Amino acid sequence: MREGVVLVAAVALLPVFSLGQLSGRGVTQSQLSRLNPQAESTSVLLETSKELLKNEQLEDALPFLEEVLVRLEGDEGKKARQTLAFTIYQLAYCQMQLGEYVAGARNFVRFCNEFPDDYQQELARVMAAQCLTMVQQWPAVEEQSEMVLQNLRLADSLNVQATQLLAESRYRQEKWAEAIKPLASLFRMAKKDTVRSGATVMLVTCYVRLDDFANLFRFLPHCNISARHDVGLNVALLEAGDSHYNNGAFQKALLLYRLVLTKADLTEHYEARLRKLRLAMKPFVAGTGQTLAEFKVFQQKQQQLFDRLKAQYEVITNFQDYDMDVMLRTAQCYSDLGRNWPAHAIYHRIFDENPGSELADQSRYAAFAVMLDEQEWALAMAEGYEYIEKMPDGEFKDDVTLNLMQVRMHQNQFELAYEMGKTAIEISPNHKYIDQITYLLGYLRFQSWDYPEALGYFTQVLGEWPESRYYESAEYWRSMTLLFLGEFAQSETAFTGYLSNPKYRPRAFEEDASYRLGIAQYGAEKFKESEETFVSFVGNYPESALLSEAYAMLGDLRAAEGDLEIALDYYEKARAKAQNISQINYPLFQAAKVLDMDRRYADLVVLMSAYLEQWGANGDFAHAINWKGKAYKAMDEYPRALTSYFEIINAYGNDAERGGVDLVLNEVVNDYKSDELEGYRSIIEDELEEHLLRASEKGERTLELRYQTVFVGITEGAERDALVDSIVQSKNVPASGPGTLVVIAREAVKRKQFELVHDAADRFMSKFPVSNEMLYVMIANMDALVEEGSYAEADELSEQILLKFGYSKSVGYARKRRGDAFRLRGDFTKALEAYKEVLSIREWRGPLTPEALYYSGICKLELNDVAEAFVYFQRIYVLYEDYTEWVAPAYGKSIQCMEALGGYDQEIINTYKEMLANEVVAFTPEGLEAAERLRELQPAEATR
Amino acid sequence: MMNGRSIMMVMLVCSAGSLFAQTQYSAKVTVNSGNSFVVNRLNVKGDRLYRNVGSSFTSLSMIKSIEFRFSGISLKMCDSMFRMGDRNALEGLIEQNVGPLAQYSSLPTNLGDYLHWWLKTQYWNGNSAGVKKTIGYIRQTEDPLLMNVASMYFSMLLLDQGKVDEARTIFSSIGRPEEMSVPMTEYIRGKLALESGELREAMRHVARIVAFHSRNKEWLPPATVLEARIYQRLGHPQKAETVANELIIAYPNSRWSTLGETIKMEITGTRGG
Repeated sequence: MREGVVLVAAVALLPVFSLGQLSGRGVTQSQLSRLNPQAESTSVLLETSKELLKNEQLEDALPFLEEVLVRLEGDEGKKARQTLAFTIYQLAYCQMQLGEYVAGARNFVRFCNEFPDDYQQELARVMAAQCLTMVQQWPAVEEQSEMVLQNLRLADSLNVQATQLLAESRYRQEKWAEAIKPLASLFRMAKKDTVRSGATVMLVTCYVRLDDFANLFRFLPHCNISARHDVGLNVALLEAGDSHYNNGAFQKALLLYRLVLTKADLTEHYEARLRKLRLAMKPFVAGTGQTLAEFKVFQQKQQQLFDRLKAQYEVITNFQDYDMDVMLRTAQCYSDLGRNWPAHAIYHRIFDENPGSELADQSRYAAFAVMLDEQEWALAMAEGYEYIEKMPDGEFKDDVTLNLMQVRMHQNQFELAYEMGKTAIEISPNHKYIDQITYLLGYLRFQSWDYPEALGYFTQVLGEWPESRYYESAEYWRSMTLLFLGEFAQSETAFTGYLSNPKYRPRAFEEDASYRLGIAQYGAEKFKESEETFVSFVGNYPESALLSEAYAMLGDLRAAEGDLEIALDYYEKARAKAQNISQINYPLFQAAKVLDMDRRYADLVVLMSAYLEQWGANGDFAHAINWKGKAYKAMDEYPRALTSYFEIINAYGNDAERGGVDLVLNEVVNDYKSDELEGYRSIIEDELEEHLLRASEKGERTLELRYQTVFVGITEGAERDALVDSIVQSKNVPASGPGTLVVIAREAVKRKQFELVHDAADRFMSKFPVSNEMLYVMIANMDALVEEGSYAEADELSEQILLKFGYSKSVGYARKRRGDAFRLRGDFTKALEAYKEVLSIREWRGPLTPEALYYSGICKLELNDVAEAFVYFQRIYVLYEDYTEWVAPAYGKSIQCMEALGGYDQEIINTYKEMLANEVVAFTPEGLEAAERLRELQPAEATR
Repeated sequence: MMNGRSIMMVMLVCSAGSLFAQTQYSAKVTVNSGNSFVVNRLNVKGDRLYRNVGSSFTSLSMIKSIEFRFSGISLKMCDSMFRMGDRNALEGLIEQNVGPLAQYSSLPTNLGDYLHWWLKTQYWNGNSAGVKKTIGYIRQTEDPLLMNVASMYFSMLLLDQGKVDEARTIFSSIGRPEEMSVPMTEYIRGKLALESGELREAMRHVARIVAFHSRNKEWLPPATVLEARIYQRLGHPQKAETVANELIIAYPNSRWSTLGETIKMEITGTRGG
């Protein structure tokens, strides 16, 4: 603003004096040296002063003017007063021009005060104010300019100057509200762009400081292009934004940052203006109506403007990363306001457009962080992985890898989290959060049941980072890991160590560890100590979520000692303190076992009836009703058991998702097939038929399907086929419970309705993820995939089956089908590997073995390894002769192998004979063919 | 035949006579030969354009271009008034000055840019009947770019009327909408995504307007409203409230601040920022 203050050329306003006896070329030093101000007459002093002023010899004029002042003071004569006025004014002017602003201001003010009627009154006050501006005496500037503006008929130019001074003085005094009025007037009145721009900057600042965003946003559209592009204005907006941001006013900061024009906008504007000015600054041409003096003044002003604009232009161009800086601040505001999407878009642009810049690293990390904050996990992970890929040496790579690991954990993607943890340490061996990463790796291995590796990680944390904030967690989880490893004695020691470690105040896991200690002792068969621990636990943690479980453990401990009454009492307490249904179920069914052991069947019936009444469909009704039925059976009251079963089946059976109903139905089927209950078979059948009919009549489709499913299991032939026809339809899938879905899937495989198999399997997997019958549906689905040629999917499903069900008997079949899938796709090597797996697992030995051997032989044949194939086929009829369906074809294939190998003529005949000696094999198609062949080879012998 | 001097005609701003009592304009007519003349009234009868005086005329098929200049409005003025929010006044001015000539938009005129401004103001002033009429005039120009712009505003109108499928169809028929307006394209895509329940996709589009077109007077305010609406749908009322506050602060005494207050009311039960 200071450069905006226009110093009035007061000398031009002075009266024109005659040159008198002095020459018109100023006063020379020689002349001056001969003049003594104190000794000369007043008229000489005045003449000399005028001449010196005229020739801008201001410093020389001072002693003459001061001497005149001394001589005229106190003289009240009119002429003397006029001369005095002239002298004070000129003295002030000289002082101002010579930079003696304080003295200048004082004399201008004196002039105004002593000569209030002088026509130069306002001009003098304006100059006084200008002098005061130079020494930053803003209250005095305000006072003088206010006095000037009291004249309502002020000339326009003076009005603008005084308004400008008043506005600036108030602005400098931070009188934001009072500055607005003169600034707004100035903005309206000023003709010069420089003055308008200055006013704009100050006005915007005032609005911002006053938090008057309403007026700010009203005013801004009215700014002309020059003012809007003024560097000062944009810097003011930026600074105001910073100020608001630092005060936590993110919304206002954001609005201000968004107003800041881009570097491209600003430079383009300044370049255009500079270009225009440069073009206007041409050499003087005579005869254009402009004098040389006028031309020089014009040129000087143009040059000044040019220099000022150039300086501002350089400020912008030298501002490194200006746009990025503004964008970054804007994005930060969005982020702080929780508006993560725009923040993300900006961060993305920063690093997309400036990949090599220092801010790119920060922006990439911020793009990741805002998506984390937004809980947009997929996007966050994409950003995180890209950061690792693109910024392998980035400043934030450790933060990114740790966060990625945590996001994966949050998503329950424990294996991927583990992989990320390993990567984190791999790419950053001195990871900032190495202790945390190691601890999390241990935790992840624990979650994946990989207890030995988990133990290693927890032990590493304890050994390497004793000051880590994860030390306590690691100690607790190490104890847990030992417990899950079955290392009960070590676990007990570890829990005891944790619980007595004085480092932790308070202990984060104290309650849990106190309970687990009892479990570890129980596992270590230290039953007495275990019981003491649980007794202590129930006393110390009466509000614990584990209280019920502790009581249940005490029940188990007492029951094991034969103290059944005490055990029952503990189980009752366990139920009373239960916080969820599983804490009710466990002690309930443990109590049932105790009552059963004690033959207290009536109590058992009462207990289960009460449970069923209280929890109904929300409890484990299947388990409860089976206990109740068992009790009735033990009391020889089977009809009451049957009635109880049907009550439950009919109450909950029409809800397809209540898988427990199928367990109750299975119990009924088992009873139906039981020899002990043979006498009730017809009653059971009648009851089933009656309930089926009733369900049909009531339109309870799910229940009807359930009963039909039962009949599929207990009927045969045409009756069964009719039932299967009715059940195996796609429209029934949505209404089917797990048992019915198994029937649909299995029967649909036989009927080659593979889509229906997949539908049934999909529903089963989504609705009954913990059903015992899942394996059967998965196997049926796999059969369908193999049959329809979807071998890759079949292979994948086989892996899932193995993962879910381990080496259980039925899994062997799924793995054998995997071999089939490879074989049918022509990948005989992989098929052989799959069959080899089937043959190597002890649990799968049985009917699968000859089949796996047979198809191994087939694969060998396909691979032209006839000798090996022959060995496989031979093994079948040597070792597994009871499996006729494989023995017969194995003989056939053996003979085929011997023929291919050549030189086995006698062995072939012997093999035919051996084959026909087995009566069952002799009547198979292969046996009949063998007899025919043998006749051809040895006609006489064969007919004997 | 015109001589060389007549080509250098000086543009005159004349009173247009009784037919367009309130309209002042002049039109420089350039014919296929390159010669041109100025009329102060577009006197078109059948397939002929008559000169100011006499019965001399030019066949419309011979006209290469007609350039109008209006004393009451200019494109710069349209831009300035629109930017300053004087949209009702601008619509009135365009209607007064350009409206009577819009019927000739099928001729090779420079009316297209004015029709564009007219369409914009009509849309934002909620004059849907006017929008449809102006789209009709724009279609007559057969200017593919302008027609695409018209289609974009028509899509907006259909979206406002809840005719989402129709809006989608119209919008998808536009080849490269970004060439017309990036923020408008983002806005329409965002709105369509929102209508389809693809909230994140909608937010992506809106975020790009908010982030990169923050000084766009036309699209930033509606995009900000949309941002608030999406946050509401995403179940983030606090964020929606933050955005509503911005509408209240940044656009005082406007439809946008009113919308901000409405959103805030829906969230907190209180108005004001």
